Amino acid sequence: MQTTELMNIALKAGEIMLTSGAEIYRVEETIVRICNSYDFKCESFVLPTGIFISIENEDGSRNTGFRRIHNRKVDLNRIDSVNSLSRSLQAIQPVCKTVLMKLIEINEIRQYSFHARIAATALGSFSFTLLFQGSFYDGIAALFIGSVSYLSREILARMGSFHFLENFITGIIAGFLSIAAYRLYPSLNEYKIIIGSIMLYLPGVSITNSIKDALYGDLVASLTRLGEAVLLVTVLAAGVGIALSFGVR
Amino acid sequence: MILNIIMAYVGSLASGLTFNIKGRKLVFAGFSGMFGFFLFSTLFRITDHLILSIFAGAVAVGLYSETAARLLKSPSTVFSIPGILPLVPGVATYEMIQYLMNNQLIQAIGKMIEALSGAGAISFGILLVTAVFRVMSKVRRARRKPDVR
Repeated sequence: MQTTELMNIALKAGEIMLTSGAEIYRVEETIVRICNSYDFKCESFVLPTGIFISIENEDGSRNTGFRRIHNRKVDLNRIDSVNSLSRSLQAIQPVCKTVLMKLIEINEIRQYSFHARIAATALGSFSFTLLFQGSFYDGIAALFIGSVSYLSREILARMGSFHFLENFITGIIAGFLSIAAYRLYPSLNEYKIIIGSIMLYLPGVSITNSIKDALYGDLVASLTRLGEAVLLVTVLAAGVGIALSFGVR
Repeated sequence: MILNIIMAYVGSLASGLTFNIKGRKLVFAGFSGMFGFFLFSTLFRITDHLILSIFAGAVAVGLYSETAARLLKSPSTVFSIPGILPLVPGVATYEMIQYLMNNQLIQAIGKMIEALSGAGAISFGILLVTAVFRVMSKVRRARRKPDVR
């Protein structure tokens, strides 16, 4: 096994995990685990925006690799797959090429189809509206508003916008549509509908990861993700607030 | 009540699907939200104490997801991320925005504290369980290999 080949595998594994929204300690542990299963000593230093790896050769010299991470999209399935792949390497060590092939395969696993995701968002908005004591008709309205806001989010994402803008637009759309629904059918409860349809866009992943990073001592990553979560909520709230201030008066 | 619990299950399941959880794990991710919400709503009805109930719900989600992670051999975040969503203080956040927009700043501050402490209770609940499980697995590993190095 060459150090450079091992470096490629470790960087690729780390990149997949970090772009899918894994915690910092999990990425670092996975990289070290991969190197250790091929009997190499290794140090890894991971930030939310980049990966540094240094692998020690048998003669004591070091190879260092670095990869910059630009965009992140939550995909728990990929994290799970890479995690179990790295654990399987501890038992048997296949040739480098097969591992790299497997990693590329994991990276290309499709998400659920667009229809399935939009249906899930609609159903989620419906159920959260009912969970906050909305009536059945509120739920139906949230079902439509949730799917429209997800559609607009997807269009924005394909245009290549960034996360904060997506949340802002989602907030505005959910707010305006809910108030429009309330104006059309005054028996509806517009604030239950808004809550139900924005619930799925609250930054649960950032908050959970921030806690776990803090617990494992990755304070830089923890504060970064907490800041991300606060910004995402603020932007969403600002969107809803703009819609409300137009709608109320 | 039963309807709410079913809705908590469906909500967690739906959010898990948007996070691309696959197969059997998706079904179990839904149960995480269901257990958390069940404990939250039962305790909230008995004690009428919002933050305490959210904390208890988060502990339930944490316990469930750490156990499920060990049984199903996958990261615990797969179960905890969809699980905490029904507990998130969405109503308080919304009311805060509404008060801000109506220029009622004192009430807005009150709701902001409610929302922040709700989020804090969720964080602390998950953190506590993860810390306990981490210490337990460290102790177990140390016992298995008494003379490391």
